[in-house]
This record gives sequence, C-alpha cells and structure tokens, in this order.
Amino acid sequence: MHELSFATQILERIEEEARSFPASRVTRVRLSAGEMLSIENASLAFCLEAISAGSVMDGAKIEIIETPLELECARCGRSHIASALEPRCPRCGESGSVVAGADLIIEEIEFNEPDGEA
Amino acid sequence: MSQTVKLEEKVKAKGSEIAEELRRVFRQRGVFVVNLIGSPGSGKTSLIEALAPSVRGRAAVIEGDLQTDEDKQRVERAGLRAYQINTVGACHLDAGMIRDALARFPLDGVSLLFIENVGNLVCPASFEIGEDIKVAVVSVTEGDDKPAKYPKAMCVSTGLVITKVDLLPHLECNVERMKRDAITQQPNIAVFTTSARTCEGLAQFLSWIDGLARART
Repeated sequence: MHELSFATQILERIEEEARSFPASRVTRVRLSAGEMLSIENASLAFCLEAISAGSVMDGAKIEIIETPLELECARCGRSHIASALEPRCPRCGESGSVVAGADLIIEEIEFNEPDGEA
Repeated sequence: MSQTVKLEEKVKAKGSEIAEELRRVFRQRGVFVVNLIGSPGSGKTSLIEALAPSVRGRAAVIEGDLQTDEDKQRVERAGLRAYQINTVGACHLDAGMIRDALARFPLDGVSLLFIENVGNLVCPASFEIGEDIKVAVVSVTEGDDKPAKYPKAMCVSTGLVITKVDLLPHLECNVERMKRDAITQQPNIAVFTTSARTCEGLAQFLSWIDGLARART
C-alpha cells in the first residue's frame, strides 16, 4: 500500500542523477527490494510507470530484484537467510542483526541518447 | 550512446529526513514519543484513555485517522490534550504530517507524546515519524495468529501490547502463542497483556515507557 511513496522517492533521485546526462533519457532502471519492506514488486513497477509519464524516465524498463532477509548471528557471526517463521540462526538459535533485505536500493540506471539527436 | 550508472544507493522512505529532524526537536524539548500501531479496533484509543489518569498533565496525544475527530474528542474527555490529523486517503501517518501538526499543537509542559497511527498493521510499520519507539497494539479478539502474520510490525516494534484480555474467557485465543510469535520475530520485544476495562497490565506498560524515557535522557 505504500509503494507510491517509494516510487516518488525513486523518481526524484533518478531525475537528480539525470541532470548529469542532459541529452539522454533513462532507458532502464534496476532496483532491489528487501523482503522486509513488504513491497509488492508489480505494484511498485506500476506506480513508477504511472508517475514517470512525461518525465526523463518515461518508458524505461524497470527491473526489480527481490532481496531475501539476511541476518548475521549475534553469537557465531555467520549470516543466514531468515525464514519468516524462524529468523534465528539455524546453528546457534540466536537472534541476529540485519545484513540485507531491509532496504530498497537503486542499483543502476541506464541512460541512452536518442538516435540522431546526439 | 548508452551509459550505465551504478548507483547502489538506498532509497529512503518518504519523510525519513523530516523524521530525523523531528527526533532532534523532541529530544531537545525532552519529549518521549510513542508511535502506536495496530489494526482498526485493536484498542489503541482505549489504551490511551485508560492510561490518561496516570499521565494527565504531562502527556499529549496526536491522533491519526482517515476521517472524523472522534478519537481526539475521546482522549480529550479522558483529560489529555489532543490534536487530530485526518489523512483522508492515506493509510499511515508520515513525518511531514507530524511536523505540520506540531506547528499548530505546541507541546509546552509535555514530556510524553502518544501518536496513534492510522488503524493498519502493515504500512505504519514502514514509516518513521520522529518517534522514540513503536508499540504494536494487538487485541485478543483479532486472533492469536496476528503477530505471526504481520512480522514487519513486530520487527520494528520495541513493545507489543496485547489488549482486551478481560475477554479471554469468551474466546479461543492462545496468548502464549502471540507472545512466542512476537518474540521469534523480535527477540527483544517487551510484551504486555492488558485490559483497558480492568486496568490489568497498564501500570507495568507505563512504568516500562517511563523507564525507557529516563534511559534516553
């Protein structure tokens, strides 16, 4: 339900980055979405497409990779992929701190100069 | 010509900078802020009403609802100063709304601020609004599977208040399961079993909050 506010933040950041490439358009954006954010990928892509109309990333291909929740065990220090039902370390049974899977990350942005306009 | 920029940068949830700014303001002014999150009807307002006699004079409330100022009126009748935010369509409060509210709702003499979020156990878990702690509010009438079904809400919460325990004789609800599932998601979560009717567990909940507030300063 909160995908739109994330989409707004993403578009703002990409528009800012696009100022360094004034002759280009954004043709592809790769995002990774942490499992813990409870973001619906299809809904995020839909929101991004909707608010990008007329912007520098209008029509860009949007790729979203889901990152599983990864925790580092407080006792043994090794990291493991946490299951929603049992987030504790499979070896020690100890709780851990989040290493990955809690953030939404803009991984890369592809810029392309339209043909014949360069 | 095609160019790929490897940004590898975290997208901040909307309002996270404002939330940091609010946190500094609250700290400077000595206000400890509790963000209550829970489903519609979980008993968030009743919890505040029941705590009111013990915190009158030092606590204030910001209420978040889609429509109406009924909750504001309820907590005012219970003797607390209150401000109502109507989000109209939004499913959660964000930091910008709290900043706007503070411009119209001065917190002079207040050391404890309850912010009652919009009734929803999903979205409010993802947004920082300048609070010191989030407290999840889950009633026994919702069913004992709720902490397991809403893991994000448990993960981000420092405390879990299980409400309406006076109704347990009439329900099939395993409170131990609720506690176990919450602790599995968030091993450090403090769990309180309460009833706004009988006042069970309220003193423990309040002294826990006061302890955290003292530890912060």
